[in-house]
Amino acid sequence: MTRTDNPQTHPAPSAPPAGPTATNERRVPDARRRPTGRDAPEGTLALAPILITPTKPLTPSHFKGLLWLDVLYKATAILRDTVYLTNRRTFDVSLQTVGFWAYMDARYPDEDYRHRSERWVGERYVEFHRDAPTLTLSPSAVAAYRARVERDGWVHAISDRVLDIWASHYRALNLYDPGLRRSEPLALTREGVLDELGRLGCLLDLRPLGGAVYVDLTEQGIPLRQLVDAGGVDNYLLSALRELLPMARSFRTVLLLSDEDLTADYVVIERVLARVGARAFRLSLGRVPLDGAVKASREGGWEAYLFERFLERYLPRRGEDVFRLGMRLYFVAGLGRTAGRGFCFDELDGAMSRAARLLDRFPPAADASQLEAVLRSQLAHHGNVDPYRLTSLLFANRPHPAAGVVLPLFL
Amino acid sequence: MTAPLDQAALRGYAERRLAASGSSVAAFLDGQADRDGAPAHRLAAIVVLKAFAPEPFVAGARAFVSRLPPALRADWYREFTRTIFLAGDPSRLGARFPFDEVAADGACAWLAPAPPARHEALRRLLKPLHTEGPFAPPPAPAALDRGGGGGRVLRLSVSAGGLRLEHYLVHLHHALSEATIEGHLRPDDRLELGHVTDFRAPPRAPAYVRVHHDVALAGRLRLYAVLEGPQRA
Repeated sequence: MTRTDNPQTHPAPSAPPAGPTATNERRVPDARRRPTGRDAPEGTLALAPILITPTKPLTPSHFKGLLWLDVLYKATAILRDTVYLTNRRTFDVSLQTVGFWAYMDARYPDEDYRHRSERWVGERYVEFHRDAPTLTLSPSAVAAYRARVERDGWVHAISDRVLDIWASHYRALNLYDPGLRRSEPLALTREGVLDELGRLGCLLDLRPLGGAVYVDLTEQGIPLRQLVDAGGVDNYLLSALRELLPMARSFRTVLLLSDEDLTADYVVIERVLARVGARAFRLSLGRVPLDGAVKASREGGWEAYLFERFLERYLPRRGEDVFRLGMRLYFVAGLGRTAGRGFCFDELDGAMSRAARLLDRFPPAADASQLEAVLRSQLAHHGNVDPYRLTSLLFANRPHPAAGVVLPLFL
Repeated sequence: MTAPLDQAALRGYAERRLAASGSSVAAFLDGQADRDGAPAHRLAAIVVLKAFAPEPFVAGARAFVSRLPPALRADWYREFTRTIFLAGDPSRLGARFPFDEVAADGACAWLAPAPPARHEALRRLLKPLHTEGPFAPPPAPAALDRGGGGGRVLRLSVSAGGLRLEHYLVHLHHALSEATIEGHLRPDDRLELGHVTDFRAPPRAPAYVRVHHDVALAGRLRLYAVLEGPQRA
């Protein structure tokens, strides 16, 4: 299915793309990844994380999400057909991203971003959220930016720089990259989503009255969630549905990974996808408290916890393998799923030591059937490998005897 | 000799209305009649709507008020016939929230006045009605029949200039409710609904007037609705 048409004038048909190789698919290049007979009836599992907008530094909360998803994806892909969905455009088109770009152009018009650090971008991001209410960003200017993103997949130079920096972080951690820069026209237009929701019987559209538009699942006891405000501006939930609604027809099982704070929106997405006939389920992760507080990136507080600090603290002394394993041990098993445990360098140090001992004691080895058996023993209810349980096998005081065959997934 | 349409005259109307129900003048002038999130005993009716057409809305409101038990009606009248408008689709809610009245077009529905706690579950599911842009009242049919054929005709004029839909509905609904409670508008009366941008001249012999705080001008009262008649059909 080609995507050369402007989605605004040629809305994509609602029929799914032919075959399992949908345009958003990225596979683990691993010859061992061969499904057993169990795979076929369940269909492909699609992982749909919320993308992190390239307007701020990656913080421990982000790394937690990225590392959870990395372990989940690599392990699950051994057992079944798994795709890791990604499309920059879905979230770059949001007001959060575009508003920041417009602010930077207004306040730093001739800036050359090519050598700017993550820290510098983060400081501008905090500044934007602090000062933006006092700056007049005209709605039509913001709309013009959004149109450029929508139409051309345009990325502002500051975010281009951030994506470069993130690509190098991914390499350092050997995070599977489904396509950091991948940007495709959104499968449905805004009206396409609203029409589909109307057909599914879960739309409350008050535009004829001058009001807002909501996803209406009140029949199921779920509160109204706004998609378009009374002024006609749509939000990220609508963007997410533009991308995910068609996916629900292509992939029978969709795992939605999100921040705990976005649970209400993700419950709505899950229920809407279920109406389309997909099995959708959610995995929500709590943010990582820093210095005792859970904050959004825009509030700051991350300054002492940037990736550059992890690199300088561990990479020279420990080496790449220990670093990659230690980060996963800590962020997946050490911190746990919820927002209960605060970030602590001492504990991360401990995880690095544990990683070094594991690699000494269990040299990474290849044994496809043993690996598959271990992974199957850690399957979650919905058909994905539970990353917390799998990582805990390694992080335990008495590591799993087959740790050696599992370790390659963590390096 | 008709009174001029000035603040003193409007205040006079307001005070007579409050006296009729035993409501507190001070509370009214203080704006408490508008306030939400009130003490636990404050009654409010609920209207859920997804669309607005004058005929079914007016008929539904009249039926709703007529059918309230007399004691509840009197209590609600004393509480300024407080009504909360929520955006929602009655057809998706009827199983969980048995409405006391549903409009003929299914676009709006009513729940009897109750203390805030009773409506909390519904209010958590829905959103307050909020619109933007000036609301232009649809050209109302000249007559909104209520059946009954009692032979009397009354005319309700509503001033909608500069109002958002949610404000317009508040005043329209108060006018219908109170005129019904006060006995000026009976179930078998025929009602005509007309709109003006603003009232230029004071009403001559109104059966009922709706005066309230001017949403645009703090500290001033505004004439929002006038019920005139009855005339013989």
